[in-house]
Amino acid sequence: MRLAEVMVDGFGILRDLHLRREELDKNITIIYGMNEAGKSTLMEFIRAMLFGFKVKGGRVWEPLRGGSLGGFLVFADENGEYYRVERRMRGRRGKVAVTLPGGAAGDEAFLADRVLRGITPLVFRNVFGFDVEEMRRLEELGAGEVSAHVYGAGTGLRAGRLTAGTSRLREELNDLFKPAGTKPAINKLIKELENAEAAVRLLQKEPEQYGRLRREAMSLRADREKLESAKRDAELRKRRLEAAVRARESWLRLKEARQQLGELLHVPSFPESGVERLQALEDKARDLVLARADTHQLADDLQRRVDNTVVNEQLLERSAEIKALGNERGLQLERLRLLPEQAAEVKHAGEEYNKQISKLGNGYDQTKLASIDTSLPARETVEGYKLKFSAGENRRETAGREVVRLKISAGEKEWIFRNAAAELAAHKIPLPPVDRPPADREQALDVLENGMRRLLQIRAGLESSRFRLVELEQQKRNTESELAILSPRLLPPWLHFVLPAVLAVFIAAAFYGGMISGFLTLAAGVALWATVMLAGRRAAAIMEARRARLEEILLNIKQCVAGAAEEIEQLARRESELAEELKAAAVTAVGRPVAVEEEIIAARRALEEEKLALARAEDLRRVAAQAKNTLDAELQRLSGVNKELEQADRALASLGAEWLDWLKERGLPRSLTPSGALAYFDACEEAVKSHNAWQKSLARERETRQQSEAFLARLNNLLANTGYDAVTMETACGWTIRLEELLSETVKQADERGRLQAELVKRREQKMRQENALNILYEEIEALLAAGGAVEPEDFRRRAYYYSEGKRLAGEIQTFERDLKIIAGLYGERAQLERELEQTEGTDNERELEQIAFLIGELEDRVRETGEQIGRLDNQINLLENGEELAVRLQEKEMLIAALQGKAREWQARALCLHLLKMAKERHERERQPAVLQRASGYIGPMTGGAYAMVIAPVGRADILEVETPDGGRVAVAGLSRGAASQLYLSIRLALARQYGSVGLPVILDDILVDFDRERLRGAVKVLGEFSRERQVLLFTCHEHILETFNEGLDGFGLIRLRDGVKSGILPHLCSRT
Amino acid sequence: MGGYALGSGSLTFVHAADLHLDSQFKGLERTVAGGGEIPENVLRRLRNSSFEAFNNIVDLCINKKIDFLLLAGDIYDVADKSLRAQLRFRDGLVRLADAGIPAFVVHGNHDHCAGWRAEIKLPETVHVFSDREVESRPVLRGGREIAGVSGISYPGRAVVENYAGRFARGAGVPFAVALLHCNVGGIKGHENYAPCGLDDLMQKGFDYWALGHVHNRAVLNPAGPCVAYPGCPQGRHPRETGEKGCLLVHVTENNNISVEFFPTAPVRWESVAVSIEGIADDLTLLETIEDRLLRFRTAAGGKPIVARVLLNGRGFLHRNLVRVSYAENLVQELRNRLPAEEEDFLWLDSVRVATSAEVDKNELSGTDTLLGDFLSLIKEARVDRDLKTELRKTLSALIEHPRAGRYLTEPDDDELGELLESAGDLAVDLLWDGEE
Repeated sequence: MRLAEVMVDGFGILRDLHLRREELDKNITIIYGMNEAGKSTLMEFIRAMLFGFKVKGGRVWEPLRGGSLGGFLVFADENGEYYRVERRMRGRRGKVAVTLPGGAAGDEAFLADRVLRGITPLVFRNVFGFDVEEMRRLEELGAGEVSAHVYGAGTGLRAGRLTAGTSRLREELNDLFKPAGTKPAINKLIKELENAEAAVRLLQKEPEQYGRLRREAMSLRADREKLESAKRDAELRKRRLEAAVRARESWLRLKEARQQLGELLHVPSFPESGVERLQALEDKARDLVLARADTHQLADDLQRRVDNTVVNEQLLERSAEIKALGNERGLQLERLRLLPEQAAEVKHAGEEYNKQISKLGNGYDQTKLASIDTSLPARETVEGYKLKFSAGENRRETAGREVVRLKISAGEKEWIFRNAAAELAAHKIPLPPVDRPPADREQALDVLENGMRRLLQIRAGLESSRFRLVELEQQKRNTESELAILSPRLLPPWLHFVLPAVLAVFIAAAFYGGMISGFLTLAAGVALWATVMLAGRRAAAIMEARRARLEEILLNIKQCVAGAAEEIEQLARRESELAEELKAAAVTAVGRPVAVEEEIIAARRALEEEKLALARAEDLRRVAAQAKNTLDAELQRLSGVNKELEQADRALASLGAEWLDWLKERGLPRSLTPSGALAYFDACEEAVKSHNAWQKSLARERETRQQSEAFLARLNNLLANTGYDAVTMETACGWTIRLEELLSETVKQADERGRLQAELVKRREQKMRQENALNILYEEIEALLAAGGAVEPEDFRRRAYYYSEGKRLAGEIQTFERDLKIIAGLYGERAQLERELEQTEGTDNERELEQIAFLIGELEDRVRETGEQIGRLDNQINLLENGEELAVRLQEKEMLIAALQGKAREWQARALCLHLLKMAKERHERERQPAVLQRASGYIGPMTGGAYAMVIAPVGRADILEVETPDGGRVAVAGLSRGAASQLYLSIRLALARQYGSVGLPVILDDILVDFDRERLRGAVKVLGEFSRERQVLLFTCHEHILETFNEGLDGFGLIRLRDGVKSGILPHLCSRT
Repeated sequence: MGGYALGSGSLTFVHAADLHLDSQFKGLERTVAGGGEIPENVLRRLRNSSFEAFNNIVDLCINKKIDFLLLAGDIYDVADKSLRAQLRFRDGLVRLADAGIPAFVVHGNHDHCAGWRAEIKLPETVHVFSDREVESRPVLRGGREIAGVSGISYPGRAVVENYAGRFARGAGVPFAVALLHCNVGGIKGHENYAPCGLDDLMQKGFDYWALGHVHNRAVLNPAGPCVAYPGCPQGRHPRETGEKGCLLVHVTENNNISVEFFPTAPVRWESVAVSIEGIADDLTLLETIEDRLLRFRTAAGGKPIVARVLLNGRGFLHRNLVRVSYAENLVQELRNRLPAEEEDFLWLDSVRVATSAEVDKNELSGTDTLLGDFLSLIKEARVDRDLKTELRKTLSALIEHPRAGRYLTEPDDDELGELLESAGDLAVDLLWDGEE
């Protein structure tokens, strides 16, 4: 499809601008004009025709020079059929009308689907119509559907994923290793490894000292052995000297003890602790003699005190009676206090009884009271009567109230019924114009309304068709007349004769002038004649072609005329059918065959009113019937309630008779009501209770008086027996207290006498025991003296001294000998020691001892020093033999190497991944670019004179384009000159236009070649020439040099000159370089 | 393994090699980024494991009342100058001497005779063979020779001469044993020192070739005469997995030989592979690994184990596992769960992630996406020498770094392949959004 015709009625500065079909029939049409000639306005006009006058963010191009806003575009398809797209101002976007080949009409949807093929204004601005600024707007390429074509989805990646991935790899690589870093994992491990190696090297040197250390240790051990030997000898001498010093005192005392023992009297045996035992026996005997005298004195004192104690035996004998009276004394006092109270109580109870019985009336006494039945069954019977009376009265009262209420309600219902009946009688229904049901009449009215509208439409169509027929006839006549005046011969017939004749005259004249001039004139004449003939024949051929086209148009018009006539016939037939239909409907609706519009409206209104009146009457009838039914029901309820009231009265009378019979049967007063009977029962029971209380108080007062008198009699009897006078009721209680006190005193005296007698018996027995013990002691003392070989105690004590002294000296001798033995130690040493003691003095020993102790100290120091040296060496040797440090360090080193290798593998995998990604990206960009970029690559080479060979969208980016030089160097858009960038963008946009193959729009370029130098302009012209074979190109320019370059480089393009919004000349064939 | 009632003509000996006393475990990482460290008790046990293994050999000799002990080189790493190792070795030999068991020792490339050695006197019952020529020594029982042992030590680290040629069986030796540290048939993974062929040994007429140097147990000529490597008595790095020990050899009166393996390693290295296929959450993964490790431990009779886990298979969790921190946390959590007592630990050294995403990288590499191109490049890199060279250059910043380079080597083709696999996983993790 191509743009075949443009008609601007009014749009900005453009008015009645018509680009005709023959002006736009080339592949490329250049619209040339200076600034403000209307080129850009024309571009906007085309956009507005396609997408509406005011698109979002755009502007309305009001006509500045008159004419109505709008115009039309005509597109021609591959078959030469024309589609006219006309847009006029209506609404924001304007109203479009598409006229299809054959006259059918299409709307906005048709335009969008069939002509624009769904492309949006954005795609149009990116691909089909753009100025130099729009062309350079890179970011729009990133938008939506265009982006997919340019940047492609073929990488299989989400936006930004590659960048994020490579960034992550770089970060991980840096975290693992940096050649000059210290923090990354591998750098840290290297540092640790170097430290570990240094430690290992240090430790590996140590074992070389091992042999030397061992030799040194051995030598030191030999030295220490010698020193220890010398020290042992010195210590032996020191021990002997110390023994002599320590033994000297014991040795001297031993000698002395042996001498004392030889001088003492020998007593071979003596009783064990004899002296102490004798002394103890003598002490005991003396103590016993003293105690016996004390006991005797005590017994005599006790006997005297017993004899002095006197007791009243009669009181003791009656102590039980005295205690019983004392115990009862409190009770007696209570009785004396109660007696006056009880007498008053008897009096009060008698008065209460008399009061109760007098309430019942005369003739009542204890006997009559006992005969009246006030039991629970009697009371329940009375309660039953009371409830029955109460229920009967309630029933009668309820029925009475209901009768009153129903009478009022029936009055109200009757009033409602009468009102409804009156309203129904007053309601009126209007009369119908025709005696047909309202539904039929309503349907006929609908038919009438619709039919009349359709009839008007048909008549309008008929008129339009007739008008079109007239137009077509006129066109036919015009075409026929044009055809008739179209002569096949352009040259008049007379010219064939006149021209040779004139030429012959000239030639003859020339010959007359001379042979040479004659021949020259002859040649010129022949040439002229031939030229004229050839021109005439060419013009005739053009005329013939035009005639054929006119004939074809005439044929088309005739077909249209026939079509229009047939359409008129059909419309006329439909008109008459519809008129018949309307007539029948008018009879039904208004009763006449003809009805005007006002009548139909009036009939419709009357029909509506009639329907409303009918519905209202129906409602009134329903209300009256309902009111009647309600009234009847109310009256029926009233009659029922009256009957219930009568029944209640009868039941109450029957209950009263029954109650009187029951009172009579029980002997009760007939005047009692059920409530009164219950009160009567309560009074009887109260009288019986007060009688019983009076009798009880009498009995209590009597009993108290008798008990008081018995108490006084028992007391006086006791006093008489114990020698005291009788007492009265008033003093009796005091005397019981006095008796108790006398008894207590007597008991105390009797107890004291008993205790003294028991003590006297015990003392006498004690005295007997003391005398026996004294005799036994005297016998023991005699036996002890005999055992010690003595008769007298003094002799006994002297012998005891000799015996103990001999024993002490023998013990001392034994002790000193043992001391000497211990100090000497070994058996052989004892003799050595005694010799030493015999031969030396104590002072010699001590002097030598000091010297030897000093020597030993010196030796010990030297041994200790040597030992310490050996210990140090042994420690070193032991560390070398058993030290794990080297093993630990080696183990650490191996583990660090393993860790380093592990991290190195991670680093290497990432480094490889990054490098391979770079390679894959390059490969992908080179080999798997979208078709658009491949085509663009085909354009950019010629357009830039081979400076760039390829257009590339870097993988993973949807916002950058690059170009590649033939040697593989890449330049991003930002690095390109303005001209080269324009060439890149033009290549991309032309490639995009090819991508939208199905869209039948031309590419409209608004002075986009301004940045191109001469050389590249030629390249661009060549590319556009190639491109335009596939798709029509309209180029707007104001640059003469561009026009010239097209003239030089391209055959057959159209040129339209614009000046101030008006065409200034049509040179369709100006540029043919034949 | 009960004792053997030996006849008067029969004999028993123990053959061990490559004790590497006091040399340290390789490939064990002390710390992880999560902050965990190998507990000191575990480290101590590992440090002493080579001594423990040697003591176990000595105990075996004493308990079985064997006739002699053969130690076929690499007793310790002389390079490490460990006095402790030499003293402990002496102590073990003293115990043997006290039990009346002679020992025959050759030194190998690690403890060659030119290396430093402490002045330590070994018992009279120990014979260390010369490094100048093959010596022969008789083994006597009741004054009668029951066997003869020939051997030679290494004078320096690298011996390229075929020492087998110097051996000759002595006349009248009732049972001839040759003791040598060598590589028979150029076994891979070990330096080719004292290289020789099996035939070289066969033709010498010895009854038993007691070899050392190769750390895996192997009896090279089961049909006899016996040529055996006992392997090392304690695995020293992650690849020396499984049971390690020495050989107890019984020889009948008719010189029939039976060889019995005795485990001596106090600590075992193990490697466990766990697939993440069908595992949907972290807890299940943890429990699966833990269960597998504990089963391994039960199978090992409850001995301490140092384990490495290899996660493989394709699954949902791969996406997490490619993150370093996730894998480290996993290790840390597992270490917390596993026993860590000194006598009874199960130490998880590392978890190596060789899993794949749920996505099939092969399928992805066929797509025309960026990731597809990336994965295609990885495929190409496996076969394209130039591309490999280019990729190796990208690693030079680390490998050729003056300080780091001392501890690292350029990856060989296999290692590069693994690195590329990891790089591919990283890329999938970074760039793949799933089927969208």
